Amino acid sequence: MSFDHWRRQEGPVAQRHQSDSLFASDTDAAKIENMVLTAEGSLRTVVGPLEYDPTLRDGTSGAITNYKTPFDGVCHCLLGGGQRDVLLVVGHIKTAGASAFIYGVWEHQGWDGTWRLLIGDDASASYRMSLIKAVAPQFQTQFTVTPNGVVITPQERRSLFYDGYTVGELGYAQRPGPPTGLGPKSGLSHDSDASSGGEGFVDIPNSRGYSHSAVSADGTINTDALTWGNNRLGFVSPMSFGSQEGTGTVFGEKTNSMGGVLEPGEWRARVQWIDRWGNLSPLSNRSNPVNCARQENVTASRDKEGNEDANRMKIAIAWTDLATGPDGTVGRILSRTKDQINSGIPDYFEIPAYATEASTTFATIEDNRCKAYPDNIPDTWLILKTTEVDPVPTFRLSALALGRMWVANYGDGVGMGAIRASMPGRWGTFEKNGPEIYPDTQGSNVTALHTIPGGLLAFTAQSCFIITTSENGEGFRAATLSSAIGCVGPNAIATMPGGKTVWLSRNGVFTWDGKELAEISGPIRRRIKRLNGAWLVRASAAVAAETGEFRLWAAEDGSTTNNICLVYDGVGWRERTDVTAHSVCTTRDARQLMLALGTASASTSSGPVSDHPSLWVTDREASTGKRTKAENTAVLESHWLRSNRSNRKASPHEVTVWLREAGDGDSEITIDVMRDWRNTPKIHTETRKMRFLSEDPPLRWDNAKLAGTEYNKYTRKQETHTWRERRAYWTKINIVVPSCEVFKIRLTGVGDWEYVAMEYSELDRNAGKVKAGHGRSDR
Amino acid sequence: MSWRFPKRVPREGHPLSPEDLAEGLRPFYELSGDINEHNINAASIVSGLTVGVDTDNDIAYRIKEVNNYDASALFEQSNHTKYPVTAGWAEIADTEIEFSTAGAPFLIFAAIDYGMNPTGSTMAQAQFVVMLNGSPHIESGVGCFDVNALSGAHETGVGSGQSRCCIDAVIFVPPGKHRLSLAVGVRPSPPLEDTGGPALNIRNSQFVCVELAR
Repeated sequence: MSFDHWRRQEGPVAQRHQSDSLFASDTDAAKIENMVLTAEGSLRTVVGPLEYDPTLRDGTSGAITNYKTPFDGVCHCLLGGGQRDVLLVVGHIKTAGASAFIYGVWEHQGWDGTWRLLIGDDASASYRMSLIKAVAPQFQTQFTVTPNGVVITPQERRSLFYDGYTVGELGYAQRPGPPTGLGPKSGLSHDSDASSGGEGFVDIPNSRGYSHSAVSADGTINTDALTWGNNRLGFVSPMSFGSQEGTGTVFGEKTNSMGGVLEPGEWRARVQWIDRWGNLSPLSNRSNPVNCARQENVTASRDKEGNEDANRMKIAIAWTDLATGPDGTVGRILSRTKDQINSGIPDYFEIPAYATEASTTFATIEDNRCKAYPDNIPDTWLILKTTEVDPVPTFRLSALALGRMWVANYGDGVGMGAIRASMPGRWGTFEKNGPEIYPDTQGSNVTALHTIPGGLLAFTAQSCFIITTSENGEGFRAATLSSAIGCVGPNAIATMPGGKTVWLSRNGVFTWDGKELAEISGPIRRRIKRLNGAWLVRASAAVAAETGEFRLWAAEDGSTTNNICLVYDGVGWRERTDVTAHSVCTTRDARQLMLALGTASASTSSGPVSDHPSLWVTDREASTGKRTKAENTAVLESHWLRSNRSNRKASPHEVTVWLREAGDGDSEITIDVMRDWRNTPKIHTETRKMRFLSEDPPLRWDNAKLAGTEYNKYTRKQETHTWRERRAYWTKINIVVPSCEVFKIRLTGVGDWEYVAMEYSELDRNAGKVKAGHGRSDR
Repeated sequence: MSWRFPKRVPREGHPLSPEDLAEGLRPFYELSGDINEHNINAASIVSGLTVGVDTDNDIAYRIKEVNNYDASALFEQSNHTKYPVTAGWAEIADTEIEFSTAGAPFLIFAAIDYGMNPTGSTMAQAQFVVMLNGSPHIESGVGCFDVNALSGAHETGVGSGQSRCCIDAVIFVPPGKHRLSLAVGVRPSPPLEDTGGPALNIRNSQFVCVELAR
């Protein structure tokens, strides 16, 4: 052994992130697995996960398998002003007492610790629908949270809306049938026998059919109708005076100063449903035309007893066969034209429910039951143009941005590359000629939508775009961010607390901070190449609210499930294997939990359980024996140390590792040593207990009395026990790697342990002024 | 209240770390605001401490109850407390429940036995209500709400009658530390109007408050 004088001390080096690069500094790690960065800057073993709703029972209760893969999504949101806490998962669940698993969208009922089938192909489902099980690479079920509910988008199915109490279809994919209009018809009236000088059968306009003017079928005044005043439909021209041909007397005593002519008119109507959430259906087709015939009351032939108001000839009409809507419909908006012959306006207008527009009315007919509507609304009251709406497409992606619901990748044709926006606040109403964007000039399918401040990011597999309001504020525009970088799937994207949006593309992991697009996966490119490209469409990412980490679960190597979690903390990368997460989300409440729907190994009093499917809370633990996750194995593997001078051999002699008290007194970590770019064989292995010297032992749970005292060797007095932070300490490992180019240290520990840094010393080949050879003959 | 989970659970043999203890307790003391390592008297831990967290019973459910149910006490007025005619609401004995919450709907079940001393010719009427921090939550009220003070004009019951009143209500409790209790308002029976009235015998049998954990 040489003198310390010749030893070169390196470090301390504090590895916090891993790098795949061949050339890296000593502060890079080859692997940091299942370790989390603490608030004090050290690395500590990941705890948990813990089952959200326990399915593993202790002891004699045995195990209840409540969940079964495949899983297809998880969502947490707060509705109703934060009072309604909604947790949804998609997968197989067998509730206690049930005889079989049912696949569907389930809602957690926290108050009795069970799950309710919200959507599924079972009689117990609130909404019965057969869902496609996620056994092939496809988008996961999408959830888009809005202020009044969550849009649930099972793939290849109609999207649904759940407001915390009721679930139903989002908007309308079908249109109502057209109404049938009823109006007056002209008919014969028997005046008197023509042979005795009477006029016999004469045509009386607007006297038959749905005839409700204030003029009776025989032309006299309908005094019953007058009780309610004149009707309101029809265009009366007071300046039109008739004449009686052949008499020579134009008006004579028969002059009617209030007379006029009811001009021929025509009206049509369309009906539209409105659901409980305010979504509008497409308009029905047009009704049959309702007409009135020309009618006048200024001619001498009318048996008038005085001046007769021409307005009494105005008519009322009716609309029947009003289509009732599907479940969720709470009203119908009836729209009508103005008199199409006299107004010259072809548009349809909503018929108001009352004489004045009232804020309490949301539809012309505030029910979904009646079949007929007597219509006496004059044309002059028709002000609000009808909203023309397209059927809700069967879309695969959605996001809430800029006050609208944006949907993308719909149908089987051109819509797969398109994005549409709903009306503001009506998440399931898509106006005809509303915002529709085809962002990718190559026509590729949209693979992801993600809301960012002030806009929306849209992706295909190989391009990305930002959608913002146009400069005049009236529309939207899409700008290309990259025509080479896309996103693999809708769940592989999340925004970090600083506003940086991170996503997985085929080419790596990229960010958009509002100004520039950048790659952050440079240090782990080799790792990214190992990801299973076919299944990346189901990669799932979320940001841990507590730590601010971006966590990306993806399928690695031959796996078809997301078996690896890559963690980006804003500076670099680590990885986790504590849970295989099919889907992840972060709760939107003060708890800030990260939920992972997937499988994990667990340890119960009845023994270990591997790959147990459940809904897991990451970074939370329960006490031993209480359905705890099995202890995680954490690994910290240094990069090849001294690689920047590896051309000059040296002999590392010892490594000192800076640790911190953790675990019980018998917990150990294993130290492995490898050399010269080979991970095998390990040239040295030994273990260290996770405790400091026996002269300063920590107080430990369950075997120390906080109320007691101890002799302190420094004060030389009995000192009262106090709460004390866990102590950091150094431990030395004599490794002896003679004449190596590079070497590596791997620390492995099961359970709780904490790492701060390491230091090593080496003896240069020229130590003692001996011109030692390199040990190789080929250079 | 949503389900809550400890971040770290002190384990046997692990270092007695105040930080770890706080990590374990924080999700809960965030609610009540009165427990962390600073509030634990170290001297009180004389034989070690093992924290067990049962997510079934400790976290998922929040059932607070005062259960005085006793079959033998049912309609046994000697076990009741006398409540005279009241101008306002009088808190019923043995009904106080205190707890902290992040704000949640509570499901309230209460069963109150009451009866009239056999000497009364008619039965005084009573109204029962859930009190939140001493204030009546009037939507939860049940009983005779005839407030007519005229003798002979308001409803009465049969003298020496006994009854049980049940409250089944959902009330929203705002975030913070609260006290729930039951209260009674006793109406005079007609013959004794303006004389202070009879005393109604009342006994809380059960008072259950279930926080609807979400």
